[in-house]
Amino acid sequence: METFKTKQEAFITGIRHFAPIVPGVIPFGLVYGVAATAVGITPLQGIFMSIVVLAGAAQLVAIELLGSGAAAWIIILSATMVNLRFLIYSASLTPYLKPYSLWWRIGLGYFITDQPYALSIAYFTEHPDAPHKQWYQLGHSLMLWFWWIVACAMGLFLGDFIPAEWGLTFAIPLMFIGIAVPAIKNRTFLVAAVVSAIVALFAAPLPNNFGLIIAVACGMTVGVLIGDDEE
Amino acid sequence: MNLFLLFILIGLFTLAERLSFLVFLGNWEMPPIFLKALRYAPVTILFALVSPSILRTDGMIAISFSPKIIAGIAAILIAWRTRNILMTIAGGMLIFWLCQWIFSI
Repeated sequence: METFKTKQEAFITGIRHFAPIVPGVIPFGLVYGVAATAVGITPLQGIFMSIVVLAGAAQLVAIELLGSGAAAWIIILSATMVNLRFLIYSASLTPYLKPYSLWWRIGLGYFITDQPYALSIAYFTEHPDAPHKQWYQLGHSLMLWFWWIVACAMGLFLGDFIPAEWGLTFAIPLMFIGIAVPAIKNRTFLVAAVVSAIVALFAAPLPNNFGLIIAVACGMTVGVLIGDDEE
Repeated sequence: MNLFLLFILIGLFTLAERLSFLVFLGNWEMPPIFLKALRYAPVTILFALVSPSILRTDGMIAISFSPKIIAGIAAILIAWRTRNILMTIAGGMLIFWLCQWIFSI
């Protein structure tokens, strides 16, 4: 990859780099929109959520929990935990974005999600001295934002026309499986996941979905206690 | 709680995570134990959500195979082999519908 001479060039390259990712973003947004409609969320509320949260997995976790009548604090805590990876993204982008103004860092920070992070960190590690890094990141971040909102809106409007008998809300746990299984990097992750799943299964009758928090605490504790080499 | 307020709160906590190091913490290094625990958070919470939604029906732990259990196991296998989220959802839904149809005959 070449480095950029002008900020326009950096911005356009960011947009171009995101283009191949667009087809992967759209189905997520559709699933989110349809699932949100199924638990009684209006298109306006659903789009509002996509703008203020801007994180697919966390949005779906919140939807799933809303559907099961969880307490607000459990929903907030769960969504926040799903997004804990953003701490790591934020930390690893900091060395490259530190030179830019506070407003740039706040603006780009708002957009931090999986795909833009992956594009940026790949480019920045390869070209640590490239100029106009902020414009490159803004380019692909805006692409993600635009397509995410469009896809969510489509799903939210389509949701009304999809019969409940199709059981499309089952796509949510399937999506969680699709995200979580590849994230099992070694045996410790597997044990932590299984412990959490078993505790969650038996603790599910606890009010307000409190069992979820207990399950995650158990899984994480077991993971830390066993430990693994990929530190 | 008002849904708009709920979404704003989730958004604010998420924004705090996104801006954590970029804006607030700069060079601060997280305690290693915290970093370690953090790595297991997404996987454990997702599995904690998946297991009751697949293995429980009507508030009871399922004791026989249901379409959801079969499709869930299939989805885990697909996710493990392909590492592709869309394939996992598509395959899981197809098997789910197929089982529902077979079970209804």
